[in-house]
Amino acid sequence: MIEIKVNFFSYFKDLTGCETSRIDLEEGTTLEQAMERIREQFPKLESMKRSTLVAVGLEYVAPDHVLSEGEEISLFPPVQGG
Amino acid sequence: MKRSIHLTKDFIDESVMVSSRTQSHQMGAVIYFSGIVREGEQGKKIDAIVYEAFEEMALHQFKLIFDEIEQKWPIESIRLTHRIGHVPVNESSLWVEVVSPHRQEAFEACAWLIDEMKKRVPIWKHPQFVGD
Repeated sequence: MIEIKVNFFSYFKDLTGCETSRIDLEEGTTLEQAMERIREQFPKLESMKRSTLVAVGLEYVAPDHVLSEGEEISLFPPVQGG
Repeated sequence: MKRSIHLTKDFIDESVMVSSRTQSHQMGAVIYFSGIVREGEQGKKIDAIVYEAFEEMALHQFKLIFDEIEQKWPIESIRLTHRIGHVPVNESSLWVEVVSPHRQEAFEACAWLIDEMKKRVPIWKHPQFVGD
């Protein structure tokens, strides 16, 4: 098993009630599979599924990215800088 | 390409920024963009916007955007400052300077930079509605 830290930003913190969380995943778990687990744990994120941006570390990565121990997932709504 | 990227809680003093500009003798164009907080948001009156950032990722994503600009246009330098935290109405939340040999590439690079920022740099607005 690997442990992954999950960070939430903007109003996703309100939807989940926290800024960070941790999930245990099987080795070889992809980002897409991890996202399903995160939505099970935080059902209010389900309604935001289509407008959720996801990063691993500091990068936007593909859903088939295989997660490794020590990586962090960040979830947030569309960005609004400027 | 010279580059400067800052996220700051401090007031952006545009006159100080402009006065610290440098460019080589081959440069013929300087573009400035300043994004100002408007008093209306979502049809309601606000007195400020609180900007939240995933700072480490925001700086990294700006760097990637600057890398792409360097490949696309012959820009000599870009300086960018984005406020985070509380920004009152009528103050600058984003300040950009682009220096290039000719105006066309400066305008294009500046516009593209801001468009890309709005797609991928993790910064969010929290409007502070009057009366809330």
